[in-house]
Amino acid sequence: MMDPVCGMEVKETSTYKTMYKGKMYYFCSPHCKTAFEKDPESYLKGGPRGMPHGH
Amino acid sequence: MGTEEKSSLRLRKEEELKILGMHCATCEVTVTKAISGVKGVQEARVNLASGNAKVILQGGRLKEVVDAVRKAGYDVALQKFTAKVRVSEEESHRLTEILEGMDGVVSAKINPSSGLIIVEYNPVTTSSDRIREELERRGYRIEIEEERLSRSSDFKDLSTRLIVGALISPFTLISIPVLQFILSIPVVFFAGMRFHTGAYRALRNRTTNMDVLVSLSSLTAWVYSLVSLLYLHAGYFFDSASLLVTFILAGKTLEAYIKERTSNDVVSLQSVKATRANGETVDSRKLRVGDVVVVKAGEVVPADGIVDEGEGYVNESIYTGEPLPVKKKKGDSVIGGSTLVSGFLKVYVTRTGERTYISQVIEALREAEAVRIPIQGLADRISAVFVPTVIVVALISFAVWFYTLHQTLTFSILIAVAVLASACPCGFGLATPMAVMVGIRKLLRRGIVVKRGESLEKLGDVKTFVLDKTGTITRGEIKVERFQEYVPGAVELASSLERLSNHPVGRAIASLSSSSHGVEGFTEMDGGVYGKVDQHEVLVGKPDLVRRNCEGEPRGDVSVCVDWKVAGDFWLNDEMREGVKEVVEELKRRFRVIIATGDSSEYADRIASELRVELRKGLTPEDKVELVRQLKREGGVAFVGDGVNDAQALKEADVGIAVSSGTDLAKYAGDVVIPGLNALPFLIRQSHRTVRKIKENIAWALTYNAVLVPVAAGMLYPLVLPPEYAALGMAMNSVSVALWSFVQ
Repeated sequence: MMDPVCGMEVKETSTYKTMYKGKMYYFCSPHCKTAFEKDPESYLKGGPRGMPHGH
Repeated sequence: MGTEEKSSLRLRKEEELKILGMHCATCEVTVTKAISGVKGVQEARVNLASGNAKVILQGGRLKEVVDAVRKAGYDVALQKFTAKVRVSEEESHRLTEILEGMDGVVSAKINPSSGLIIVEYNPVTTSSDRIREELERRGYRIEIEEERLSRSSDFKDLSTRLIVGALISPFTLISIPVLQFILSIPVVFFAGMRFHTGAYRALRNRTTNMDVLVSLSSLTAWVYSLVSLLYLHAGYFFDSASLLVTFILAGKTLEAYIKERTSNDVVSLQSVKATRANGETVDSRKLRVGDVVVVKAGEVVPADGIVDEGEGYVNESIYTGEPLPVKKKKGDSVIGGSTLVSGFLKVYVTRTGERTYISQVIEALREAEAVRIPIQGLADRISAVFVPTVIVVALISFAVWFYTLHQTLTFSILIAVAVLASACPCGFGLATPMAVMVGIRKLLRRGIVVKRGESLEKLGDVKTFVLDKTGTITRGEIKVERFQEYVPGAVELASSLERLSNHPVGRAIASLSSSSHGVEGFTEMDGGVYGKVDQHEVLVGKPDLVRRNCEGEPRGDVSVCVDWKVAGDFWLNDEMREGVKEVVEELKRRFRVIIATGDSSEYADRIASELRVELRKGLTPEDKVELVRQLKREGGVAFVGDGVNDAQALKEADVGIAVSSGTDLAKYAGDVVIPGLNALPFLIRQSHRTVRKIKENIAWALTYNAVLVPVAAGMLYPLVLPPEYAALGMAMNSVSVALWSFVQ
């Protein structure tokens, strides 16, 4: 499982997760999750972009 | 002197820490960065697999490393022990320094009033035994007790010595020099021994304390008298030496009695008599889970448990702050330490020993009382130079009287002894701990548990109160006020799915229908739940989550999607707690008040407009932390919330206040635990009073010394202060600080 925002390996047990268009996405940190929720499409189309600011 | 030793202690040190909470590669980077950022850290190597961090310190403090790790959102595995140590107020600061300079010691807190130290250490590099050995090498006797700490030893020791001093000293007034000499020996060298050993220990550790002054003054008087008896035949004051020791012992004994009385009221609750159902009487500490105890009217409930038989009214103010007794009948839970006012109960014991609520309270109080608030720093600085200054003043007074004013040697020595005996550094050391101890106990009587003593002072700087809504302002019993169903059966599907959730909203929706369908792949996330119910894909959640996943526009506070189409809406309600309006009104007069809630529904708006306060809604726990962080730029922030879900925000705030709903204190984050929002105004008022008391105590100690020392030095000549009365004045100064602390 890959964090769609930073590209890091994450497990399904991560507490940071959200659903988008019926699919679950997992994150390594709350920052990645917040970034994803703000603009999911850009990460899904453009691929991971590394750590969002503030981590 | 001190700095040399400190720097040698802080040469290169290697510490290995066990880091908790690292679960991905980013964590490793974050923790390494956090540790490396600490001043004095030369190298940090963090290993994700083992969870260990190797840190090489060059002058840096382990405490700061641990703080940095915690600030980054992780934790360090540490251990703690509580021990009893006999140390004077003035030395406590030095002892903290010694402890914190040892390898592996993270922090040391001392409450000189109760003689308790709490040492937090890294179990990978050191152990409690090693720390004890090191302390003993330096002349400190400490007792680490696994069970409860025995008190009163200091009071007992002092009173034995006082009795010896008080019985013999009056006879030293008989003017037969040889008799005076013989009688003064047991007083100065037995009754006064603790001052001499205390002085020796302090000097060995390169510090000074009250003992130095007492020892020096009594020994000077005694040795001069002896020399006079043998050679000079000029004048004897064996009587002054004896009375001086006795008066100071009297003051110290009284002070110890006050201190012990103050702390005993809570501690005694740990050990009360318990009557088992078979009539056998045992100490409450010997009770086991499963025992049945009999409690009669007027007795204290000896342990936490459940009423097995009988009925009665119980005063639970220590836990709820509510002064009116509460009715208890079969099946109700009771808390150890509460009092049965009337009736008769048989209680089935469910928690004993350290796990009882009262034990947790005592543990928290111990920690809180060992606090050093910033203003105490001023007192410590005065304390550090105080004794040497007094010794210099005594020497100068002697020189002036003897050489410049040509008084007799006897008179000049008496003056110097009076100066030494009159000065009292103890007031500075007692100022904070006494006031804090009394303040914390006043709060406890209203059910408020202070876990961090610093918060009393920090409350004075608070500008903004951030209040959580659910469970704090409202009862936390969320109900579905109304719902609309667009696809028949949608509510039933939602209710089946929510049955697996623990969230309050989930429970409210679950209660709408009793029929249960099989659920597969249940997943809970921020803002909602998902699962397959009867082959349908069902998502129940907040509007944001629903919008990202489903077709159609959600209109309720929570909506349900069936097969990715909005199929129903729910509107929620949660009743406001009693008295909240008045409390918020009172807070608004002096503070900025903000409600921060995870709830994004219109209901949150309704509450905020009813209370006429700012609202930030739809916040995740991380958002709340961010909000607190932003507000902190404008001044002190207090966060009031439920200690479990808002743990992070409580930690981030300057003062984290947890509203308790249960009896497991350890579960709550936060600096202060209150039984309800109603307790807030009292907490604020009492904390102001305690801080003011500390300042008054320090001011009083200063004034006292500024007046009495010059008088003892002979400023009012021909009116001179005999050394024994100077000593009496000194003893009364610390007693008065202790007593004055009660008036708050």
